Amino acid sequence: MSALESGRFTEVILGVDGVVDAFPPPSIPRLIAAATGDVERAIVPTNDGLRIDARIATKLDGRSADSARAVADALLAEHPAPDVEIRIQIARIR
Amino acid sequence: MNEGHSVALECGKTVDELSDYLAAGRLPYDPDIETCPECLNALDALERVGTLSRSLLEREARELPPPPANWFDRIMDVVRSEMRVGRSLPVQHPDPRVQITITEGAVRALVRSVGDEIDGLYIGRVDIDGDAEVTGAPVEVNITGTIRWDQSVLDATALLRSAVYEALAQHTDLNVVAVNVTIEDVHDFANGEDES
Repeated sequence: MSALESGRFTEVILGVDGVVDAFPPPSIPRLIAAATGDVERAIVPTNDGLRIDARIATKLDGRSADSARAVADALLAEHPAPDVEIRIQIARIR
Repeated sequence: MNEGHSVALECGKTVDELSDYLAAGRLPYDPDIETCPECLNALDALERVGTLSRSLLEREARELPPPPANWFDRIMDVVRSEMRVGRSLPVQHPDPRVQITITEGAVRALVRSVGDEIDGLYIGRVDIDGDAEVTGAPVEVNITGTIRWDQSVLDATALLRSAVYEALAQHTDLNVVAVNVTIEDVHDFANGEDES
């Protein structure tokens, strides 16, 4: 299990400037995600490697696209494998 | 409430459920709602309508003309139609392992929030027209709204266009070639909760 999977996922995302929230992907029962307080299940193994799904909220007075790119860079730095796939959705700006 | 309020969001929650939750002061805490960006965006829209309702009632109490009978139905139609997540609009990243998108719903909410900051304007419908799912494709933003009777349409719409261009450049990678504003009606209430 990688460092990301063991609990740094949310921390990495929320550590990016301009990101104010991280949501579980729609496929995860939100009650479980809220109860556990994390979005760890957003990391799923695939046939080709590993996929990381992140849904984020960004600051209205920030720059959402730049923040999302920074989230991707931060996740890539944590998980630099060539077969990783990172999908980030900006779902809310507030 | 009409039966259209039972329309469900993509996450499964209905406008009725969210309205009830809001009316209860968001208590007891519902993690399904509070951790869902679609629900949170919808709650923002419903709160905005609620604020306008209170403003209208205050004005009406002071014997100013009430809004048209179907005004709230029209507003709620807009709220319902725009609660959907919509398309996924691309945000560029140089690494092919990365795919970034911003939801159309988040962009519409952004435009509304920018517009509502302009004194005397109330934003109705926001449409992003064009092939917005293709990076760099030209898109037009079409906005409808109403304006307070004592405001200049030209000044307010110029401010709105400028603010929308700026916000979309700040937050998205959209290639916005036009921001078209249609003022559909004149109203007689304030954007805020209390203008006194």
